[in-house]
Amino acid sequence: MAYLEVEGVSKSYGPIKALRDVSFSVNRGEYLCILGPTGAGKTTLLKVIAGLIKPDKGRILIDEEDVTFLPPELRAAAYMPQGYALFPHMRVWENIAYGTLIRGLPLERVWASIKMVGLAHKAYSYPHELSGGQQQRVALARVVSSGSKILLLDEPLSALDLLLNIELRYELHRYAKSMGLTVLHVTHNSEEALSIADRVLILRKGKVQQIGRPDEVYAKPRNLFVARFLGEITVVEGVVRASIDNRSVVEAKGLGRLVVNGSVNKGSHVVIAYRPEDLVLLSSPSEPYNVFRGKVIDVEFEGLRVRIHVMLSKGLESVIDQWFVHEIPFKKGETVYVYLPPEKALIFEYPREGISQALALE
Amino acid sequence: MLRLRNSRVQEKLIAWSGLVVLLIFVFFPSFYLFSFVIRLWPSVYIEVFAHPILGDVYWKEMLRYLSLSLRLSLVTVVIDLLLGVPLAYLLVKRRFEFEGFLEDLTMLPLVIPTSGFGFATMLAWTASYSLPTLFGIRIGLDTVVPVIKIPLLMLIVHVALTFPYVVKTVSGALRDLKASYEVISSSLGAHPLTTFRKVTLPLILPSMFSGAVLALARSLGETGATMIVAGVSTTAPIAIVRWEFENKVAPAAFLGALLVALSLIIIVPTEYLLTPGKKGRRLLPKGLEARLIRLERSTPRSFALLRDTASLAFLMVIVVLPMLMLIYNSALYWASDPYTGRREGSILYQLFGPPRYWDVIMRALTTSLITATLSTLLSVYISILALFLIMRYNIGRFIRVLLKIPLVIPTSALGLSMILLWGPKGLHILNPGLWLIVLTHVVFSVPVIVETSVASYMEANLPIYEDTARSLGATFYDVMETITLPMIKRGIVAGSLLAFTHSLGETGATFIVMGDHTTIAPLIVNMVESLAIPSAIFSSLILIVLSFIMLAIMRKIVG
Ligand SMILES: Nc1ncnc2c1ncn2[C@@H]1O[C@H](COP(=O)(O)OP(=O)(O)O)[C@@H](O)[C@H]1O
Ligand SMILES: [Mg+2]
Repeated sequence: MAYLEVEGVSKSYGPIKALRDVSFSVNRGEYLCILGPTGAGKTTLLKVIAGLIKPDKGRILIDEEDVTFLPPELRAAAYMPQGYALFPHMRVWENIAYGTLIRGLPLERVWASIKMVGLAHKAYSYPHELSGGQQQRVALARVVSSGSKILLLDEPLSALDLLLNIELRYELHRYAKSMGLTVLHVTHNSEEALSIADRVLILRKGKVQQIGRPDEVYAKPRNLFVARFLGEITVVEGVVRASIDNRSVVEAKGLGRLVVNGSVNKGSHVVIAYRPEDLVLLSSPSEPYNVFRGKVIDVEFEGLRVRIHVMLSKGLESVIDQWFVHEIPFKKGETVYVYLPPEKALIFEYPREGISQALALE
Repeated sequence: MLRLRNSRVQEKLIAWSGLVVLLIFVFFPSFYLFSFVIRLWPSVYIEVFAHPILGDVYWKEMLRYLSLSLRLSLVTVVIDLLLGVPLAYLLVKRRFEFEGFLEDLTMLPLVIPTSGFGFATMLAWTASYSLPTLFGIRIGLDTVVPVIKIPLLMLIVHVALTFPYVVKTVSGALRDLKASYEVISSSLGAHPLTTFRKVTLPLILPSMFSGAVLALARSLGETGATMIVAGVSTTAPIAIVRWEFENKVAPAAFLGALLVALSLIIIVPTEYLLTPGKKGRRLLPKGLEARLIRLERSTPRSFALLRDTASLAFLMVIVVLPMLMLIYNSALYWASDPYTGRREGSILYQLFGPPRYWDVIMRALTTSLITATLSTLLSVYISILALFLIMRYNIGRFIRVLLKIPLVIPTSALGLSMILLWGPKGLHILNPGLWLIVLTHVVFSVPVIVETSVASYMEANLPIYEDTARSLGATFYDVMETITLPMIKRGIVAGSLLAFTHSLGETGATFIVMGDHTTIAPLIVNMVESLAIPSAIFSSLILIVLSFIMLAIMRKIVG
């Protein structure tokens, strides 16, 4: 049985629809990342669950109890904004003891959780005297000792630089798991979400786009937006000319005939998307089909990988990622052949609102 | 379930009581003159416009007084801007020793008791051994600036009391300004003057404007110092005091309502206009622009030095000189009258001799301290309630704008309003005296404390801490006690000190509402009018020393 259930929640601010009929459930101890661009309604969603904002419609259930109309202090869901909002006028132990004292819980919990995060030696420091990692641990201990079982994190790591972000998100995940917390972690950074989540929920314009395991949503995005938000893509539009045996032939704009996996109705208007790592660069047209001649217009060396920008036809540029092994394989100005493996193609119905609207962040 | 109800009820209760106390103690007194005039319109009309004997004499007088007040405040603001902007520049851009002291000096006129300062200014300019007489010029209360026909001394006092508003807002804007803009401009080859005109000036223009508006409103309502240097001229606020004492309530109330309306017309639109927006800036014609830049280039860099020196000189003459003259005069008058040599004209004689002014001063000082303490405490309480209303509810924005109004209402109009509202002619709850003083001071203290508290609420980004605390199990009331108040304590304390100092030195309104409970600032006006100069010198000195101490405490606490 799901621990947290969000059922058909909607919320508007005047004319702005921040949440539209949002439903999903989270299991006990699960780490769910809510991913979406700025303005998608992520903060609103967390605040509705925390009880800081009343939804216009829908219900919130925690452990099978309907908490929709309970005030925040009576829900076991702790809301933490960016930087964790440690109370600056309280020492570490006072911060950690805050919820315990206010809820009248036994004080042993406080010391137990201080020890759990290894901060006994910092108990009398003020938050500003701690490192980012230590602050994060104080925040976690504060939640555990307050008796809350659900942790709602609103972009906790967004202010950090990349390296610290990577280090702290891993630690965050590990501690939360060992404390048995159920976590909803909001972020607009897809890499952050994919790397630590048990499941990812993608939100756009107040609507749930997809929810699933990270590898699942990455490999099988339900729509163009999800595909684009989880990683870079090259997009080609086309019309299906034939479809047999789970294979389709698409007349692609700027490329010509393109074979892709999947059966689609003949004559339908589609969009094909490829990720940079799925394209293969050849020096000669050694595959029977889906090979296109192009010209290298730029080579970006990034250390681990090399990104090669190829102009396939007029107005159709594609990025191809390759691992870097000893030397950069292609040079600017060279003629190359790009192979689009049929099994790697993501194929979507042509979006009614047009491609650029479908990809737009807002 | 009981707890749940409590939490919601607490929240509602606090918000509602916030609204109610604001209405009763701040907004109602501020707007009461309007309702008074409207309610008694027929009799007001007859008195002011169609008196059986006097005809419309009052109306004609009012127009004359208002005209002087308007001319005075407009010229004052122009001078404020010309002198205040360079001074703000000096304070922000230059690093030097005594910077803090210099800043204190600039802010002094904001906290100084106006009657004491007015008296010090009068001494500095008109005494027979003052600065002008060194150059063989005699200045008196009746010296009038030609063309604009404004009494010179009045103009000087008004500039001294209002230029800090310009300095304050402009230096605030200059501090917020990223230094990189100016650095980039000069690294692209612009002369400092060009940089100022093309980069800095456009960016600080809104702050200059809002400073100017505050200064204008303040000058329009200034009463305490003006009364001392007025001589035979009458400004609108002074007329209100005079008419109130002559028991001519109708014209006083009408003029008061006009003044309040005038202040509203000035302050409310600017509150909305000043919300940042895009502004297209028209460039100067190319030829003129090029010529200007050439002119700026040819200005020697030592211009900055000249500007700074001039700013300092201005500060010296207009703020420091009166203080020094006060000290110098108390030495002169200490044991005997410096002119006649008579012992009866000395400070010592007046204080401790038969006039026993010492007792009078001490009594007034005690009354001042008591009223300032009471009104500040009451205001803190009201402000905290108001703060929750402002921060948590949508009408907060509106209330915040409304709270600017008591700050610019002419003080004598406020005093009149208080008497008409609470006094024997109104609700008949309070007679002039200590409690009416307290309530009057609450009207302008609450906005001061709310403003500093709101500023510190915003600065500390409190909503996120409050939300976090709520979700950790704290009720609305817990949050207020454990998070909000401790975190904005500094703002509240700073505001309270400011309000306390204001209260200590308030003259115009107190004059009207104090009855027999004379406080120290109006006492000085009385002393000057009864020509007890040595006592006036001594009392002014005490008040100014007191406000210096408050300023030092404030600097210490607020940092
Ligand atoms: N208090 C509010 N009043 C009006 N509009 C709001 C308010 N809070 C959020 N919004 C709007 O609701 C939408 C969703 O906001 P938010 O939940 O903060 O998104 P996110 O956290 O994903 O950036 C945005 O368009 C935002 O402008
Ligand atoms: Mg957000």
